[in-house]
Amino acid sequence: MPCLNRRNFLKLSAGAALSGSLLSLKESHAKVTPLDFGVEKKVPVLCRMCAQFCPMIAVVRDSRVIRIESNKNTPHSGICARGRAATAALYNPNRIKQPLIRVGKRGEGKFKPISWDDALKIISDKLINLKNNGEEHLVAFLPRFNSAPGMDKEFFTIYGTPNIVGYGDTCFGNSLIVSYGSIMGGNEDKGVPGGGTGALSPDYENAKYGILIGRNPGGGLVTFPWGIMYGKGRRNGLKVTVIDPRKPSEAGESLTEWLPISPGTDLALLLAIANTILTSGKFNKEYLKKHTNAPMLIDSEGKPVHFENIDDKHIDFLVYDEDDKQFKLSKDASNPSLTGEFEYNGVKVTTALTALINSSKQFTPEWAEKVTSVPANKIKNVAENLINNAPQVFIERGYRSTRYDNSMEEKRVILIINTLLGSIGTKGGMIIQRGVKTGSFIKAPKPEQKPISHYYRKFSEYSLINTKDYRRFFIKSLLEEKPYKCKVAVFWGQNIIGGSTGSEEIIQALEKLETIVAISPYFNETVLYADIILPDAMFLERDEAIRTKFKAPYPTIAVHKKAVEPLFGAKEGYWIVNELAKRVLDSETYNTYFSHYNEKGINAILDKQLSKVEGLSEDELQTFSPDSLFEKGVWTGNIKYGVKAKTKSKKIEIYSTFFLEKHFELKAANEKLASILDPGFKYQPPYWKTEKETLGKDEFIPVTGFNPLSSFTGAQTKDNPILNFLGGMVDWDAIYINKSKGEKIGLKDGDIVEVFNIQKPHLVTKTKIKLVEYVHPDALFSYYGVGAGYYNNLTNFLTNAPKYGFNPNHIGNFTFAVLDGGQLAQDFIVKIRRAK
Amino acid sequence: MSKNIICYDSMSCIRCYACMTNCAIENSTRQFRDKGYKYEASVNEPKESKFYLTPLTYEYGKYPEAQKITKFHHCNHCENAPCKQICPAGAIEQRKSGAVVIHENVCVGCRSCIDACPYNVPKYSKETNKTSKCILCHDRIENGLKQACVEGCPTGALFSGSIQEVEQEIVKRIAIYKDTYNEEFVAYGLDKINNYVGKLGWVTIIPKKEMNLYKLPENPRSNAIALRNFAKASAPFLIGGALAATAGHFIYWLAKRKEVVAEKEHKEE
Repeated sequence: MPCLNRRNFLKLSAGAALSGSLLSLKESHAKVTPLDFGVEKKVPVLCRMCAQFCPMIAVVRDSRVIRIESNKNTPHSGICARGRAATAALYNPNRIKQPLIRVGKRGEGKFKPISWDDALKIISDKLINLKNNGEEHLVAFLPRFNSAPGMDKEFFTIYGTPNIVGYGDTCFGNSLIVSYGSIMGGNEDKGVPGGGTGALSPDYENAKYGILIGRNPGGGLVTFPWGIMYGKGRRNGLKVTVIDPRKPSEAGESLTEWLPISPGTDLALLLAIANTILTSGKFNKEYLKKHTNAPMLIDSEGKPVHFENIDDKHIDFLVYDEDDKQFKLSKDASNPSLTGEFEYNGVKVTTALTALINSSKQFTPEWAEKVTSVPANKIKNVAENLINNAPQVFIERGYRSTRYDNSMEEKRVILIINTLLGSIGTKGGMIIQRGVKTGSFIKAPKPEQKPISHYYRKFSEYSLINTKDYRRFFIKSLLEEKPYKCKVAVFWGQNIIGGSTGSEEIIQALEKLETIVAISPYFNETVLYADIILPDAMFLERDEAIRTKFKAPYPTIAVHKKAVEPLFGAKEGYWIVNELAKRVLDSETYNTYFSHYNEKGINAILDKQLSKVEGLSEDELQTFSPDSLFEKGVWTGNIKYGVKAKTKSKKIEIYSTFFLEKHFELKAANEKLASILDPGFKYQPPYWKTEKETLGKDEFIPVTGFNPLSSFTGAQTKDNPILNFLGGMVDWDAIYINKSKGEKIGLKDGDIVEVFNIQKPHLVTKTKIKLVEYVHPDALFSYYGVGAGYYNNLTNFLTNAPKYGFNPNHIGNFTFAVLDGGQLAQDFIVKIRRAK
Repeated sequence: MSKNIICYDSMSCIRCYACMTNCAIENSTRQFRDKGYKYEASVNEPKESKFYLTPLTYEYGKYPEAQKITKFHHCNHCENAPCKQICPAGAIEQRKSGAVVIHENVCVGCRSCIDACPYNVPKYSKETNKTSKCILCHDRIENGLKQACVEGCPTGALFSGSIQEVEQEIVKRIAIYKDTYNEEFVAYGLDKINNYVGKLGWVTIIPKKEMNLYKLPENPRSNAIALRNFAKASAPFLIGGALAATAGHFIYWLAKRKEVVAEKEHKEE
């Protein structure tokens, strides 16, 4: 922004005024007052209107945040509508204004104000009590947009509970992570390798063609940097095909191919793409030889015939070298055979790729047409587009990963196809993320007890669940009272009732708790079930630790400063944790971990973090300095193309040896589960297809997508007056079904209808319906988290938010996807009827 | 300052509505800065008059060939500004930047501009008896800032600058789109459209074959104005009628003005 002092501004403005027509210009529209442009304070912040922390600038004047700007100091600067409307969330009078204690029944929404002192005393007395009985592990802490990063989880760990329960099992922490780990390797979660949503970024800017599946770039969050990269890509001539039960405007409305697909059958279409590529032989041979285990020789059981340790963590496998017709380790082979059958020590062996080709043969586009309703010739067309533009192509990995029982396999096949096309690590394909780490403020000692998730991991059907993100297993544990029955839950930003599937059972489980604490700036379904509510500061009202976790493909370090003091009676997260720590911990423990914070405040955390910055290259270190970081608010490094796999073979394991190992582990116990872990191709239907092969005329699958004006189930967006005004204009709270299917059951556009899960007919939701041409006949589309849903007494607290509307979580089944334990968020059948 | 025009490129737009949101936020900021409103209160009053840029959605075709179009509804800042020409109060100014601005304090609420606008843009508020519409953020652009919507756009689908700069970018983009999609594209409003509106201060890039779907008229004009022009140009005996109409407007304005003032005073009590 150019520096403009007030005098210059006056001059400019006067000049402009004189130049206008005499009659009309007695006064400039922008009347110059002492409040002119150029005198504002600009504070670097990280957006928490959703969970992505996009770097932005809060513009402050007269102690008010008056607007949000993007932070221009990144290669992809930009903020979406949610972030732009942050001021309307900050000044929303529906915020929780003081600590509250429940006076009615749980969920009834009757509270009375109490003082901070009293509220903190009730909570800390409870915690001390449990500690005195050796029951620290019966406290669960469930954080989200955590308000005291670097100190909150750490406090509860020091206190002694192993149950720091992440929300990722209902988001990224299941099929997406496991499928990535099985092929690319990655950091291990108790033996299960994985990589999160940001582990691969489509290189939109340099790609020629891509497939959007399971995610839309406008609604689907991650504006920094994916939304921005996508827009640039479109300007550079990126063509896309959208595979989705609903045509998302966000992907592009003109000249954008849309293949409507029956919900939950994406896997079948992807298998047919793999089939087309593999049977035509048009895969990237050089890439597969160099970067993958495609040439690995396997026996008739599918096991590698021979491998050797190359160090204590890595192995190498046997291949057949075409140049000298010898069997050797892949590192010694100049031209490993990709396909073929051989005889090794008298045993018949084939390459892994041959096994993949053979297992893909049955999944022809004609077969997929029957499952997906997408015409075979269109599927072939997509495959040809991919082949013709490879390796500058990508298939998106999707978002909010497990939605159907077959999601894990779907995500894995996506990675296999990307690999066949040579796109992973290639410019214009999928970029492998480079991360960066800072020092941690507190290193908390491990509690004695094991978390709930470790107990469930022992069951075959849950053998790949996430041990850190397990909030629905926490609920399961409450219902089953296994391995122990928790007594206290502290929800800090997590809305488990509105934001995870099976609310009815979730509420039953919460009833079993002795004490529920909710810390939040806004009311949500879960807050209404709390016994004690603490008003959290909104993100613009607090200083925070430095952040390094972003979806960006390049290393990113960013700071978040307080823009304004907390409003009403809200308090900053660090203050809350520090006060709890003072009250709960003995003085020696308190002094060991928290005295630095008590003395120096946020600087104690920042200093510790900056004392150790890891992951930057030599060049990048030259450009990084704490001073400039604080001045600019954000620092970014470089994209590096190239393949780096963290598997045991250091190759992209297109034929997953991790799956293979698990396959044989499970084979004796459970043949069906084991078959899912076969590294070859197989089709697994979504759960709803196992209930009913074809849907009735009034039956649908409840698919969701993010609206660009809304994020998750949070009041920061859905109760936001500015976003709600625009949302109303685009019917963000309606459900959308296919027009001719709707007309056949006598519905009209705009009708009010009732929706219910055929397995839970007593939970009936009222909502407006739109009959449109751009939704698949099997699908009932709604924007995720916008509608009031079944548990709608929340609208008494969120007066701006939609009064009606659908939330599939409220009426969904409390079931788990096999192996990864994700939620079957939209894998159930709903019926609709006109409202009485 | 020289002319400053906006271009909306529908091909790189992700329909995230950041532009529309930022526009409404900027208008809250203006109320705070210029009119002594409390910002906190202003941002909590999402009135139509604060949204100069809004989405209109249309649907075409039959499943599975369906197409949804989200039209960006906004003032086009016409070169010939028919709204300005018709305004009896002289409340509408065309600034050097090309911004066509309704001055609220001069506006008499007669709604002639609504009649004159071929794009159905100005919005009348009963509450204030004023008509409002996009002001091209002339306060921002005259101080070296981008328009709020342009600043708000994360994907570069909205961009602005001098006619020359914008035209250069348009030519570049259309060449790429033509190459990618093998289709003709238009930059609606970059060249003179007709005598009624002239060129536009807000240009739209879309595939040529979708102009109708996007409801961009090839020959925009207003019937109300055509009638009035006819009256002006033809027989003098019509003048009496025209005068009566103008007087009527004035009397209407006076009456309405009284109401508004009375209401204001009432509120202040």
